[in-house]
This record gives sequence, structure tokens and C-alpha cells, in this order.
Amino acid sequence: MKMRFNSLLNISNIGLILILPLSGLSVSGCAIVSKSFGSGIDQERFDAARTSKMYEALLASATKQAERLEKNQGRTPDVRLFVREAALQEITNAYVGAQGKADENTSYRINKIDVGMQYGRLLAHAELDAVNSKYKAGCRLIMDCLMTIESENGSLKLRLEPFNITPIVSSIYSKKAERVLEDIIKVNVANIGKSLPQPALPLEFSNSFTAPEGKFLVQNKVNLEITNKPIKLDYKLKVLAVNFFDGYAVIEADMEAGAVK
Amino acid sequence: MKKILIIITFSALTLSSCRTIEYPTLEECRRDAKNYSDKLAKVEKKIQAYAPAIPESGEIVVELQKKALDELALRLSNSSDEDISITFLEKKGFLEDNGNLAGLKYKNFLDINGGNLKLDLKKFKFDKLDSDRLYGMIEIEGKGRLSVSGKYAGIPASASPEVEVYLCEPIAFKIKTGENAVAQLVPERKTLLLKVKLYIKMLEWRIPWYEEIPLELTDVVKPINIPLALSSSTLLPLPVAGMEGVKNTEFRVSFLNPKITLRGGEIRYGTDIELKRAAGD
Repeated sequence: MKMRFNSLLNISNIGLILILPLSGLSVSGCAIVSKSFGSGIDQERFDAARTSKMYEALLASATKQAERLEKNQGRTPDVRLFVREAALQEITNAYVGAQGKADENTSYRINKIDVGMQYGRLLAHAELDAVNSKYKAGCRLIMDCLMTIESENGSLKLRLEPFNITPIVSSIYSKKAERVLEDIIKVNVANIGKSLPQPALPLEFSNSFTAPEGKFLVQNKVNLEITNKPIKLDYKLKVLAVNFFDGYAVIEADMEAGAVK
Repeated sequence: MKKILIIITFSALTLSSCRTIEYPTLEECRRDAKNYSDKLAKVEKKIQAYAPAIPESGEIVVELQKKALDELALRLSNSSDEDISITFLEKKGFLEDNGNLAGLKYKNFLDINGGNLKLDLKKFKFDKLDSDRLYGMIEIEGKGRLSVSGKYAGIPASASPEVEVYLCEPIAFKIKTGENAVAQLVPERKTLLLKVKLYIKMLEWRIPWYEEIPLELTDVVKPINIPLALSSSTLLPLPVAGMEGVKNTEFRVSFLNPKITLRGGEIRYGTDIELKRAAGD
């Protein structure tokens, strides 16, 4: 989704990410700049730390769900919505092929988004390409994200938290420079989740139940004209829980009837 | 640009001695990862034990409890005392009889000139679901006045008698899909009997009148959309080619292969979805 790109944008926009190390290289040499801007990392340690963080995040998400399920055992909500992976995939497909600009010189294209649901979590795998025309450098970003579905202002929104990011940089500069860029991007996009946009699921949680108007004639021993006035009853669905299982999500909600008009 | 270069140069020089980024040791990371991973496996098993069985078909399946419909029906029936109105239209010769007074024949007649009643939907409730129907009960009651006029023993007269109507009948709905695959409660054909009672007193003419007027349920109750929380459009924040930022873009949602099943105390509606960018967006 475009969030992947925003990631770059909002954190330190692609242009800046590309400018900093490249400029630095010319000034002080790769090693110093690498350290200054967060690269020069121990790749193995970095990856192990990310893996550990990923499991920590997945465990936190799954534990919350297990507690929720245990607490709500035996309760029958008014409405249960089962959402299969394919439905979410249909929504995320709307982003595939989308192109935008991260800044004046940086354009991007979303190539792929795959979603998957497992016990206690919703995951997305995304790939996108970005190109900085000024510095003639390109970056393919491959991201794994933990997704959550949150109730907000009467709708359910998808929020993404990337936990595994693999940048593949190509530039007119040296391979070493590309590696520095990759390290920097990895470090810098670690907290992009907060700034990503939130697509909404096509569900209505605030709606009305309407008995339509009717008018008809009866011709019998007496002649009658019978009119039903239209009745509109507003209702809201209060989301109680969103749980993920193997290949599907279950959204539980209670119905709250509102005013009759 | 110049500013950036200055910052970079300054940073690079001043930070040249700084350490690489702080992370736990490789061993700590691996130990933590294994610890979290083992715990995760246990929690997943726990979740699996609570997993509800997913219905067979449909990318999205809505399971609506009858009790939710009961609540809505109760609110509807309690909402007003004047849910339905009946207008008595003009009816010439509503009542007629022939009299004979001392050999003088005459004709008594009474016309309905008009009248209005407000009826209260006293009860509208759903009783039970079976494999393909939702059964319920409808109760309507109301009072009003008629305007009548006529002649009795040759003498013109008029009156405004009170009229009472009452209807209480079991009804049934089929649950079907309507336009754009919307699930609907569709009333089944049935003749309801509207009981109409009035007592007319005009001069010395006293007429108790009671009639059961047949009404078609399909006239009284129209198909009702079932609230299933599905929306036929959605806004997605999409990037825009050649521009920075995102734009909320409207997509139409089509519901494909809808399937409705009724079981126990619930209605299940399953559908596949297809998103298409709305025209003009």
C-alpha cells in the first residue's frame, strides 16, 4: 500500500535518505558517514534483533486476543462478521499498481501486497519501487507488516506496523554506497507505522433500519385507503472484538438501536 | 542543499568517533526470539481452541442473531401511536333497507362520506426461524370517527359514529436477496382480516356493524432490508500518480454469489466482494 511509501516519506523522505549518505561519502568517507547516519550496522545482530522484536510484537498481539477470547467465552454477540483473507486481499489489490510521488524528485510504484491471517495476527507482505530522479538511485523495498483492525469513528480501519524491512538499492554510485543506503533505510523506516494511512473496511457500523412507506386501496363493503408511514430506525454496531484465526478474521459487534424517525 | 551538506559534514566529523547503533548481543537476540517464539506457539494453540468454525462460503459472512431483529422490531412498534392511517372513502349506499309505515313504503339508506383513523402498530415481533422462513406476529389497533349521512323513514339525517379496527395475525417472511444482493425480509402472501366495528345511531335507526375486511399482507408490509453492516461503497486513501500525498478514492463494492441460510436463532449471509473504482474517481 502507499503506506510503504509514506514510510520513506514521513520518516525522512527518500530524497533526504539518498542525499545524506551520498553527500557524506564525498565529504568524509563511507565509514564515518555510515556511523553518523545509522548505517555500518552489524547485519546479523540487526536481523536477529528485528526477528526478536517481530516475535515480541506477534506474541503481544496473540496474547491479547487469547485473553479476549477467554473473557468473552459464552457470550453471543448480535452480529459476527467473518472476513476471509480473500476479502482483505480484494481491498489491498486496489493499491497494486498505484503510483505516487514521495517528494519532488522521488516517485514510487506499489508492486505487490499479500495479506495473510493466522492465529492472533494479520500480516501483510508488500513490495514497492522508488526512484529518485535527481540522484539517479532506485530502491526496492520489501516489507512485512503486522496489521491490526481498529474501530474508529464508526468504521473499521486497517493499521500497519512494519516489522521486517528489506531495501534493495541500485544507484550509479558504488556497491558500497548502495549497502550504506540499504542500512540507513532499514534503520530509518523502523517506526513508520504511525504515519501510514488507514484504509477502511467496506462495512457500515452506523446505519438505519427502514420500514418503507406503503399506500393501497381496499374496495369492499367499505372503501379504504391505507397508508403506512415510513419508519426509520437508526442503529449502531458497537464493535466488541476483532480476532484473527487461520485464514479469517471474526469481528464481533452488538447492535444499539437509536432514535426512530 | 548547501545547508544539508553543512549538516552532514559537521555531523560526520563530530560523530566520527561514535559507536555503531546499540543492539542487544546476537546471543541475547536469538535467546529472546526463541523465547517469544515458543510462547507464541502456546498462545496460538489456545486461540485455535476458541476458533469459531467459519461458514462454508463467502469472502464475507455476516451472522445476525434473531434477538437483534427482535430489538429493532420492538423499537419500531413502540415508536409511535400513529403508525398507520386509514381513510374511509365515500361509499354510497353503505347500508340500505326498506321500511313500510302504514302501507307507505320507503327506503332507508346511509352513505359513508368519509373518515380518518390513526392506527397503532401495537406489536410487530419475530417468533422463530426455520430453514427458510422467519415467522412473526403483527397487531394493529385504532379508533376514529366516520361521517355518515342518509335518510331514515324519509327524513334526512347525519351522524358521526365511532369506528374501531383491530388486526392480530401471524405472518411469515421469506429471506431473499434483492437489488445489489441486499438481504431482505419479504412478506409471504397471506390474507389478513381487518376487523372493523361500528355502531351507528341515526334518528331511530340503530345499526351495529361488524365486518372482517380482507387485506393482503404484501400490501400492508413491504420488503424490509435486513441490517447486515455491509456498505456498497468505501473510500480508500490512494496515492496519485505525479503528485505527493494521497487522495480518498471512492470504490463501489459489488456483492457476488450471495447466499442466505437460516439456522437456529440466526441469519447467515455470505457473499464475495468486488471493488471497482467509482466513475469519476
